[in-house]
Amino acid sequence: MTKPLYETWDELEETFELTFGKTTDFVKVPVLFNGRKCWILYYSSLVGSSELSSLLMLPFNLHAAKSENVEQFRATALASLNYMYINDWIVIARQLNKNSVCILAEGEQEALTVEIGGYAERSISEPVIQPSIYGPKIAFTESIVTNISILRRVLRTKSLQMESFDTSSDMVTGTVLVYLEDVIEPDLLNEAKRRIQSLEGKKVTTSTHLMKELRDDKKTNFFPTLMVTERQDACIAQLMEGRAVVFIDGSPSGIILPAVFQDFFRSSEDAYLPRPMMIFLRVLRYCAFFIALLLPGIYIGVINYNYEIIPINLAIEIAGLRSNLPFPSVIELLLVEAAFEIMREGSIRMPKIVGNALTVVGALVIGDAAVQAGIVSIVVIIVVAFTGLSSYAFPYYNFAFSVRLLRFIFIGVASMLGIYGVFLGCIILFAYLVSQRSYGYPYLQLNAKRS
Amino acid sequence: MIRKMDGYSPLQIFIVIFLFLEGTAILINLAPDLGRDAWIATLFCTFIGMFLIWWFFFLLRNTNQRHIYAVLQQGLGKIGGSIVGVVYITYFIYICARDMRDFSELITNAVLPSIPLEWTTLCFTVTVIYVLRCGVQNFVNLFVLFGYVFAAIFVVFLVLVIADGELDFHNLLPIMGDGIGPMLPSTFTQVLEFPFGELIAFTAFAGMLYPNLSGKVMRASLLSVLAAGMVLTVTIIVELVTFGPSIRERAMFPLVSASRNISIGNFIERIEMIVIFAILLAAIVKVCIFAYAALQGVVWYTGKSYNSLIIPYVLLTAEISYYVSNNMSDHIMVGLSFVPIYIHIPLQFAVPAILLVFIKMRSRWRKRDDQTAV
Amino acid sequence: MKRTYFFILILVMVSALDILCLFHNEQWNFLVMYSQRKKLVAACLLILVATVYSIVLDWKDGRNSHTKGSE
Repeated sequence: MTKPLYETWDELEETFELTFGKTTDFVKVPVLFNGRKCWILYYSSLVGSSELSSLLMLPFNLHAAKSENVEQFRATALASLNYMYINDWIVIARQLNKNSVCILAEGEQEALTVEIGGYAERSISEPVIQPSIYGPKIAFTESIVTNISILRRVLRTKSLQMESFDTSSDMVTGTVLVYLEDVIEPDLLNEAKRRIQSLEGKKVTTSTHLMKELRDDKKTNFFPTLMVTERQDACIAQLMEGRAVVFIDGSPSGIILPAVFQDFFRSSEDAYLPRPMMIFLRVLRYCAFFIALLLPGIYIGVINYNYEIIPINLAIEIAGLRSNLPFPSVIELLLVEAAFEIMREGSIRMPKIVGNALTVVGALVIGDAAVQAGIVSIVVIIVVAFTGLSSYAFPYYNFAFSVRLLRFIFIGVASMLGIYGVFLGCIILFAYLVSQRSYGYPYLQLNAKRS
Repeated sequence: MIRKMDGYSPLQIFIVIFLFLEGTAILINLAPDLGRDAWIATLFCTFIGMFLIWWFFFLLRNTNQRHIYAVLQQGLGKIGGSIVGVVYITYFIYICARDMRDFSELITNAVLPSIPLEWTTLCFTVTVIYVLRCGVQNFVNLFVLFGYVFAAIFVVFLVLVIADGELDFHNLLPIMGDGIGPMLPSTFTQVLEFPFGELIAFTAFAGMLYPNLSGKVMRASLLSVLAAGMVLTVTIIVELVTFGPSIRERAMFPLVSASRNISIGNFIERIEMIVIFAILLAAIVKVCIFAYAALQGVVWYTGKSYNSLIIPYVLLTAEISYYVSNNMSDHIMVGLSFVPIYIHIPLQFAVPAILLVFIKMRSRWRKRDDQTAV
Repeated sequence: MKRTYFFILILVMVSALDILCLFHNEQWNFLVMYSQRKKLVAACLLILVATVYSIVLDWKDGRNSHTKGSE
């Protein structure tokens, strides 16, 4: 037996101000509904005024006097709107916070909420982080409804299912799991549902937080096991392959699960290129991965321990350049790396106007001046610059973070054991990658069985 | 489409056996005293090696057991089986230590002369521990990746050697100039045991990966031994052709020396690092397989979990690898004179043969008992 | 303590095998190798770490089986 909404109307009027009326954007409109006292409740910041007047107020003026009760009114005048009958204030509050208007009439034990909506939203725009050259320039927005519509307008099949979860109790942030029913593996689906359901009540509001909870391995892992995309075609391609996408309200990106190592080297642009070009680009990306990871380590190893590897003329050049330097090669490399990382971080946050100046100043200060002052040698600048450029070659931006971190480990190992250390480090890295799992799928897909 | 892993495929055992056989055989001098005819001996032993792997797997299949420790228990009884099993564990660890020493000597001689042997061995040990800790499913997949890289590097090496042009095939002539006779003792006491006889390590765990050792797996293993033997033969031919039998006799690491010789257009000079990387991959496979074989035995006899046993035994292997011998030439001497005759032959051939006989006799006794009882 | 005992058994047997091989080749010269200080320190450290690791794990196993009351 749930508690009734109110005992008497007068008591409701007295206590209402205490519970709801504090905030200035909460609107309570007392009207007359066929002679009875009635309140219309809504948040003015969530309900647009033109929608409110056309969808609710106009019919109300026309039909309210003729209706016996709220249900009759709703069936005749408000038939096109989503509605709910609620007799619990907490649920009413939740619905009001979504985008609904509540109609509470004296004598009715249940309140009617209708979805009207109409707050200002960002319209569909171009993807920013993963720009699109040939594909559709549609990026996801912060509203889940728009995102689902972006998917459904291409995947016009009834097997595109979505399931909603409320991942926090009072903050009402919605999470939606989208999948193609006839392609996805049932184990994967059940596991994904189980994980999202275990988050209910945990106040998950951002997509980063959600990603952290949905991961396989709750400790820190170096490589991402979930992919984030904001492009429509990328999402659709993944759905058709049997993966699931998770959207969270307020975040303009879809989280694709599961994700394996090879996925981070595929770009959705590849589908629009001829096949040899695609293979070439993919090989190039793998090379960029190894260069960004190993080049500083190999440089240290070669300079310190095995200089006979590089051709003799180059070796003489490098030795000549390094002859008057104050620092050992590892310190020199780390100095330039640190400067480069700081510059990289700075250039992200700078407003566009100052950004250009920063790169020029950075290049001048770090590059030329340091070399001419004899603090670092120019070879190190070349190595670090080439490494940095390689780390931008990944289609998936977040992947570069892991590579940047691991690079330092390889530098440390190379300074102790030279090239041999880099080799052993590679083996340990691949052993780590092979043993990672993403929702039960091996991270490095080397399955020798062909099904 | 991404897939989960369910069961092991024949390709995996193909690659693992291939890399295992390449292991340190591609690194050190195989059959130095055979001179020109070393490649013939290797080719010949390849075919015997195919029979060997078939025989080892036959032992497992015939007795319906998962690994050799169970077969020993079945054939020799619980106490006898345990004693011989412990001897096998010792053997595997000792060979593992010898292989670690082989590879660390290579690193100390060719790559990092200024770093002490103990330290490089220790870092190698840490890598081996990490790979073993990943679990057998993961490291078998890892070895598949190694296999692809190794194959690519080997092909590149062959192409470069041929492009270099300094090949003198007359070094191979006359083929079998002294007749078969002088070749035989060396073949049977050295080349057969190392590397082909060491396939016995696979009996310690192959039954657990492939429960039936079915036809496909058998075929993959035979092909793998054939492929590995071919690669070894080609390597020996390349070494002989590059510098001739007299220099090869004295070289410690002939493949590395051969790749040092390659010089194309003054640009591609010292490719030995890449070759050493390939050898590193194969060496890791070999060391891991031997350690895994020994660890399976320890798991069987003590009942403790595999993950908890890795660190002590691999550290033990590292320690033994320090004391295997004083320097590289002694190491080779011991490896060619004492170890094959008194250790490899008994444990690789004699014991399995006796085991097979025992098991057949036991089953016949049991049948006779049944008949007399009836 | 099964783990530690077995480990020590294997340690003794492998060392015996090693010394046997060396003895056949070099006679008593292997003692020279055993007296090299750097190698000895490194080797002793490794064996010590391995043995302590085994003992600690055995002790943990022993404690767990007591609290669980089962083997």
